[in-house]
Amino acid sequence: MNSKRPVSLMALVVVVFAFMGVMTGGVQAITPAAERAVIGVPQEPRTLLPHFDLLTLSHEVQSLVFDRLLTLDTDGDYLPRLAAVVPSVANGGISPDGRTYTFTLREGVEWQDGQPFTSADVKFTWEVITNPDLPIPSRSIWDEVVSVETPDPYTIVFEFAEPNVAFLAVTARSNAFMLPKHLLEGEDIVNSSLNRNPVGTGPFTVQEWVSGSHIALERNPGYWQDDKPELAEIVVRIIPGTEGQRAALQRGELDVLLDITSADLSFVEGLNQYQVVTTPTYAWWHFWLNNDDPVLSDGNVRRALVYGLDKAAITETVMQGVNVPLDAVFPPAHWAHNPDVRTYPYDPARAQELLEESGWTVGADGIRQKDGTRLRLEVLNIAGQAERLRVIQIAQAYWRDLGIDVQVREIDGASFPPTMGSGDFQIAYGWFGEEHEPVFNLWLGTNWQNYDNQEAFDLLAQVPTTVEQSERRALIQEFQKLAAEDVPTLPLATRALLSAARTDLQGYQPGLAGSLWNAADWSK
Amino acid sequence: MRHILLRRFTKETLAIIGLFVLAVFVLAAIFAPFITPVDPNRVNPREMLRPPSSSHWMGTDDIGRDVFSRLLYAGRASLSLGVGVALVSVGLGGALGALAGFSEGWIDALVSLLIDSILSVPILALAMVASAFIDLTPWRLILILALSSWPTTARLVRGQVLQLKQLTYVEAAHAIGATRLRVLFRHIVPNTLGVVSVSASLLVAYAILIESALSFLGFGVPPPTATWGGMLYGAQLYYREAPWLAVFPGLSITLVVASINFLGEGLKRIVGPT
Amino acid sequence: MVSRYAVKRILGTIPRILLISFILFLLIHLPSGGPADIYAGDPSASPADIERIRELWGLDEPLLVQYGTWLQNAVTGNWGRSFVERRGVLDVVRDRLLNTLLLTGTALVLSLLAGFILGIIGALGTRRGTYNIVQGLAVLGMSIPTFWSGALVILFFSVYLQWIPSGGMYTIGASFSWIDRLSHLAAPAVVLGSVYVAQWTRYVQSGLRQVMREDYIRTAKAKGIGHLEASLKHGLPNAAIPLVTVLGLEAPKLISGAMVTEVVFSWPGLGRLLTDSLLARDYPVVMGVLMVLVLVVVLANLLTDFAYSWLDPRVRYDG
Repeated sequence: MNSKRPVSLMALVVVVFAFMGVMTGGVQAITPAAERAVIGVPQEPRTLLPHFDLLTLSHEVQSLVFDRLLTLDTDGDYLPRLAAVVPSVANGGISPDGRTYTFTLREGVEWQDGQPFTSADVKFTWEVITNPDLPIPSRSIWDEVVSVETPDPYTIVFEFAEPNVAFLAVTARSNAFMLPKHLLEGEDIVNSSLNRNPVGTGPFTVQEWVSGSHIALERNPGYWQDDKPELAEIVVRIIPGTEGQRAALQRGELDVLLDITSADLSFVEGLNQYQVVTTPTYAWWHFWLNNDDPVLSDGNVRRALVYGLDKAAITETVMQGVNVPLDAVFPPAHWAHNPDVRTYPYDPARAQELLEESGWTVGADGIRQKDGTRLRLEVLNIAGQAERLRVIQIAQAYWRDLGIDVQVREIDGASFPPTMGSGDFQIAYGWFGEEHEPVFNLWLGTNWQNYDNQEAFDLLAQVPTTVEQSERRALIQEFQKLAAEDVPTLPLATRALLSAARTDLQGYQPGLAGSLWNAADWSK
Repeated sequence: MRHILLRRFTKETLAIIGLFVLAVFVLAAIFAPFITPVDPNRVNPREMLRPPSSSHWMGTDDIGRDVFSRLLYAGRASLSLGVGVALVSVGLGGALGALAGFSEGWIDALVSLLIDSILSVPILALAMVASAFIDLTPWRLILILALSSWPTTARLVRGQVLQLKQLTYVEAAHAIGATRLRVLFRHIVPNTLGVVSVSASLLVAYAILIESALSFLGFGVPPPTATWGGMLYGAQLYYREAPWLAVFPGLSITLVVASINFLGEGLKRIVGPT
Repeated sequence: MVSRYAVKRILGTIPRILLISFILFLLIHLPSGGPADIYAGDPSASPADIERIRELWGLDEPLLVQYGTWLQNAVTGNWGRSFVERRGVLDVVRDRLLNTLLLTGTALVLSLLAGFILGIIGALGTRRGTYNIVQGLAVLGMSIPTFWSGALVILFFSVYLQWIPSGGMYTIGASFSWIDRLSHLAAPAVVLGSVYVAQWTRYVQSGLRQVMREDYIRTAKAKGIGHLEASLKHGLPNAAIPLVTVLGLEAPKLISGAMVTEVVFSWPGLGRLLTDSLLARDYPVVMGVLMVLVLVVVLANLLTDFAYSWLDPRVRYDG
């Protein structure tokens, strides 16, 4: 027994030292709370090198480090960022035929390593986005540019073969950040160290990224906006669990908590140092209806589903009045929204009539049937989000009252797009974020609902080349009227973005460009 | 023999309590439709998050469903899930374990390799990977959990069989010319039943817990099937405002799992006193 | 002698590591909907772009070829690169492994401590009631779903009493302090550890009881050594041997438990990395995390074997 004692002792010492080693990682000095904002997020950003990822949270944190040429303010107007002015036909930035875009860049802007930002960087960014050897998922519009000229360091000219109205919107898109040519050219961009330690032109620089825990950023002293940012430090803290998030709020550990849900509302409202910030967006909740499905190809059935659903019962309860019922397929926050489309007020009797009309009669078990087939519909959903499921279950109950047997099928987020794309669904619940210039969307892009109305698509097809905005609006509004008649998809409600913010945090103003887009203006 | 077992059992206070609690839950699950007339899936969004009252004994959930009747029906799902996993897992594990122990040689080597391989992955990780990549249904979940948990039983049974084979009466049976299969079924299988039944009962409990953990991580049984784990997961948004949503399913899981454990421990001592 | 035994045991784990890596690889790669598909929901990503990315990532090759490539690289220490983080998988995993080991290790030590204390109380308690209460408490601990008990712990100790922080490993931005570290570690470790107390209690209890019945304890008592002292001196080592065996077998369960605890307490460990990378279909990381977990389990099994044969040299069992 005695001979074993030294060995045990050694083992103990090793364990204790290992313990201390892990415990002592990450020592640093603290910034006074007044100069520092802590942002809670439910999920970790995947990479801080722009363009390689479509996760919104990645874009949010990227927007602290990088800048776009333009951005959208909270009203949907363009603001110049790295561009000195917003190009327009009036100031010569856009050619009258809508094919050439000339950006004059802001002078004196420097990358966070001190190198000057020039038109060569913009051109390089375009080259990266359109490089087919890089796994960049989103290249739309950028890949339609036929030539890029840089006549001088502060001028860049993009040319299209045909008029293209969406280019300004694309340069203001949530992930359209400019990349530093001098650090990436000729390098292995995909595996660049900039993924974790990005260098941008933005207000904050990444100080440390502790995987799974937090990202700490500090003020970029050379930021191009004078006397900005006001804050010395921003910490993005990853808190995946609901209870952890709530405890962090209650203990005052956070200044902002992003992506809260309507179920958090009453809790946050009960905390006196926090407020709920509601931001209208271009996104809207809807039920995709598969128009190729034998049952749902019947317009009566689709209309019966709308008539039979009390949208307000969902928006006022589960959504807590944060979102409002929607009839059109463009949300009210969007400039092309048509408030004057056919509506389907809750009318279960009318819904029953429509189903009878199509030959669906109530069977012995209370479920309608036709030619021996029961009226059974399946709703596809992305698993793991409580609010979505609650909405579906309410809809399920309403449709059950019409004599429709509604089942739910849940799959995980990554399987959702391929399942939808293959048409292996009847109804699916989800939201869609409309573009500022709707030249690619759930109609012209995915069309998972298999909407088939040539007249409607002809209207949309004219949008990208129609230079005058009022004419585009007319086309899109006409499209909404047709869609409201056909019900190719069932619009349910708007989708506002919710977050909790400390009442003494000044300048927090989430908008169409994200929640952190103006972090340089925040102060406490 | 039977009397001795019974007398031993009466000394196991905890096991008796466990049996009683478990019986209550099982009966409640079986007779759910008679106990509550309320449809567990009946949604009433205007009656949501109501505290317990005379019309809703355990209150209503976040879309106005009656928590009491959901609890009863969820008990059905959770218990059948547990039993299903235990049956499939023990059946598979028992068969493969017996096969390996009995045949030895390369079959044994192969089965043992498979057992060791699967045992080296944390079961929750294995179940999560499998359920992330397929459309989940309750049946598939049972299969996934069974396929990731059978090696425990298989290892136990294999050990038992190897031990039993050394026993004189088995050798004697061999000697007098009984066929291998006959020896297996007449002498070896009955003697492993004790171990197997204990391991099965513990698996029921473990499956219920694992399902709740999977629900929490977003990979649980999909709706409309309510399970206790699913209910508890759904309640996490309301721990403060509506604690009754979490308390009842949480207590159900805890009580049932604890009861099964007490019962299993009791059985273990009765079957093979150490 | 010992080293030959050790080498034999270590080499013996290779087939099962290979087999499980193959099973896991198939399990991850077979189903439809791959890493590139998570982009397909965005209308700005065209189907052609998705296909292009799939090719760039080598996901269009036959599965066996992909596995062969993976295995060949893995053996030489190249575990691939994360699709989403685009760092080496080993770098991604390394960031989290120590945190998980710290959490599970502390939980293990705490639960063993509690198990020994409860076990001793239970075994020495002369009345049946003591035994039942001890067992009852311990089993209740393992029967509560940890995500619920964890939330209740946060609610009570962090929000109501304000004793501990809401989660994480340390206060971000504060300078180092042991109190700070320990206050972050305590709650998740206790919640995770509470699951295992019942088992350890059982082993300690039965080990002690067994010894207490034996002659030499009676002799020792007759010689005037106290009941307690005699029982502990002989009983605890006796209880330790079966305990050590189970420890190794319990390693995977401990990690399973950590996967849940890490989410509840925002602990930056491997379990959360696995959940996140599963949702992002980050195949190389999923594979990497799983294989590291497998290696940890295999290592725990080996250590158990060695400890066992060291505690009881008669045993060199070939399981």
